[in-house]
Amino acid sequence: MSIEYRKRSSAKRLIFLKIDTLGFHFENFLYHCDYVIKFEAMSSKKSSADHVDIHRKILFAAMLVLSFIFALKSASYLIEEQYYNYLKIGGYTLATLLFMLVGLAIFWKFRFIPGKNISYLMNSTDNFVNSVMNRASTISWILTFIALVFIMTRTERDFSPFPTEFYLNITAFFMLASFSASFFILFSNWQRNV
Amino acid sequence: MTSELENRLKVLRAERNMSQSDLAREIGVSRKTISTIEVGRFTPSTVIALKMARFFKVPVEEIFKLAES
Repeated sequence: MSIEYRKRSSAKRLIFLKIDTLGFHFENFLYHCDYVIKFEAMSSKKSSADHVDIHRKILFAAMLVLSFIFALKSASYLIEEQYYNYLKIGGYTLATLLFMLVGLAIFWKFRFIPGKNISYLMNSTDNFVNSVMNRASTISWILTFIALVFIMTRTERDFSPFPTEFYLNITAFFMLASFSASFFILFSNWQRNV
Repeated sequence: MTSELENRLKVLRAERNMSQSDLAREIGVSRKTISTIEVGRFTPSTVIALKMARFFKVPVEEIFKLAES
């Protein structure tokens, strides 16, 4: 974060709070004073590779939200009918959030990632984020397999307390949640800008 | 820190008064990639190592070397 002080020579004195978050700028006029203070939370000069990092984070956030939707669908088999409406409201809220995140990811890709090098930027393991994605997919695969084996041992051929849909939703939740959680954990260790 | 590879990226950057973002832009990778290479948690590909050597105008061995066991 950098703070820039500028003494305004004109009579008009304003404070600008400019937050550069994910490439969008939010400016608020707070109050009048002798100095113009401009806060920049992050550098606004990002390379295409940096935008790929952001795009990936948005995608994995969407994946995490989708996993919660599957969890809610599974939860509908475990709770009493009187609470179904709460699950529905939660589901619609998450679906709206998912739609927004997917839309943001699509917008980000076409707005900030140039078409010229897109294949290299999105797929090459030269970038740390793609390497993290590969490791997260391996972790997710292993954990999902373990979960499937556990489910198979708990369900018998002639008797299963829940329908197939329940187990499919649980598996989908587990796969997506472990994939996205692994990604964020592996990716988030390196935030310091030296 | 990986046990096999050491690098002088931070020193070379400091000599040229460059930030991680500046170097990342020159090489064509993300700032996060540069950061993780410097601390030794991400091993760059041959392509990235050669691009860095070309940018700094030094041999690759002056940037990266195997750690003394």
